Amino acid sequence: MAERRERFSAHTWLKVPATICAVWLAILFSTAPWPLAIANLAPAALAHCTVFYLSLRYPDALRPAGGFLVGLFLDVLTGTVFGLGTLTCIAMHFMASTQRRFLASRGIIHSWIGLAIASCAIAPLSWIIASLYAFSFQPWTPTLAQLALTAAIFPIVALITEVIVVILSVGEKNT
Amino acid sequence: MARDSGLAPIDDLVESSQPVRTALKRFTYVLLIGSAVGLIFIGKIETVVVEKIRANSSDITAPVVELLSAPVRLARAGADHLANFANLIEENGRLEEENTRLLQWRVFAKKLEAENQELKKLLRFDPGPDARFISARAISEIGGTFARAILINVGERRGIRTGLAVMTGEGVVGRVINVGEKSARVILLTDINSRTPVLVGEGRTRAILEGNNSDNPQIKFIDNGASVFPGDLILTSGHGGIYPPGLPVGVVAGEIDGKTMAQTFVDWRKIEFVRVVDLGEGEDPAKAGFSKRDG
Repeated sequence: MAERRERFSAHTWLKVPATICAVWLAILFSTAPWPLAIANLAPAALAHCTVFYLSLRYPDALRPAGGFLVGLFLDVLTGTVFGLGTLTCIAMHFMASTQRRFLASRGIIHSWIGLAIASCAIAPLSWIIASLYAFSFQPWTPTLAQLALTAAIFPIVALITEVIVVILSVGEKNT
Repeated sequence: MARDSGLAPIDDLVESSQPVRTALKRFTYVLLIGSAVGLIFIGKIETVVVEKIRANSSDITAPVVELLSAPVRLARAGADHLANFANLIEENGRLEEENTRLLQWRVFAKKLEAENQELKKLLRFDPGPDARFISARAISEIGGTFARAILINVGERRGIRTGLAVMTGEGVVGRVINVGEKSARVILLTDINSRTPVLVGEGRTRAILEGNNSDNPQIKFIDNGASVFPGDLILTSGHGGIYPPGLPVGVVAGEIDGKTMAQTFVDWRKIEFVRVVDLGEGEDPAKAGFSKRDG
């Protein structure tokens, strides 16, 4: 009962924007001039990882509209196709929500595999949309690099997200 | 069953509305995905509006990014210092050797400069307007999977306009595509949408340098199928009116899979400070000279 009361409290709702702002700040931090060849891919990779993890483990903290806002921020911030980040983030949120029942009660390795599968589905989708948008075939290597980076940083992002969620105490863990 | 009197009706309502909630959730996703697709169309049709939104948002986020990226810049500077310190003796020897060579070149350059001035006087050559340079700092990398761009910390207030060329001490970086009040976005030479008219080698062969989202852009449309060789210098030609002529871009790197690739002078991972080249409103870059200092 107390659990349900918590769900309807205004306090919880105030924490949802706090989560979105924390993700926005993380994305801004990822745009810093890192001395890496794949630094330009970091914001999208980070956004996908956090949206997937929060949607899977803390659905109350990042609802679908939250995923949409994270993607929209990514689109406004970066120079990529406008709307593509929003679409991929909401797709990531949707895929995490469909796998939630199976993955939420399992360990991080399962979540990692889940993210890799979701990224494999999203990468060709974004490549097709970007190619259609430009009326020319886009190079596929950055798409593959994006996919690899997303999969590679997921455990670290998941760990940091977990710590931030605990600090902000923004939601109950979905198990 | 003991129930909290205040919440009991809500509990019943929540339990009975479970299927409705599931349907609403599905509908939410459909609505949001539809909205995202709508945004893609808006981005394609209303380019000016989207660019305006991006410029305004850059103005808001730029100070935050500067603050957040300070530790990264500090760490990079520290790492560079350490690396320099480790190579101090070797570096000193190399610099001494380079200094001797440059002193010889200076004598030669002064002789050529004097000769050049004399010839210009004889021809009554009009060098055109001087360029103004505006210094800026690259505060973040805002490209993405399908774009290569950076954000710089100067905007309209410092006289930045869309289309101005951007350089580092080494060579051309790209051009301004979007200007806010205090920040501007620069599309890099390596961006897939970037096309730069260039002159290659001593024969000044015309070609187009085309970005491909990798660190090495491709040299295409080489004039009359002329041969270019690895090591040939690439300079901007000034055609098309975006870049002033004679700006250093890089050298021919060689052929990979039948494609002629360029090696740019700019190290894309070390862009920290840049200079925006302003030739004045309405000036033809092809007529510009470069003699002024930073503005």
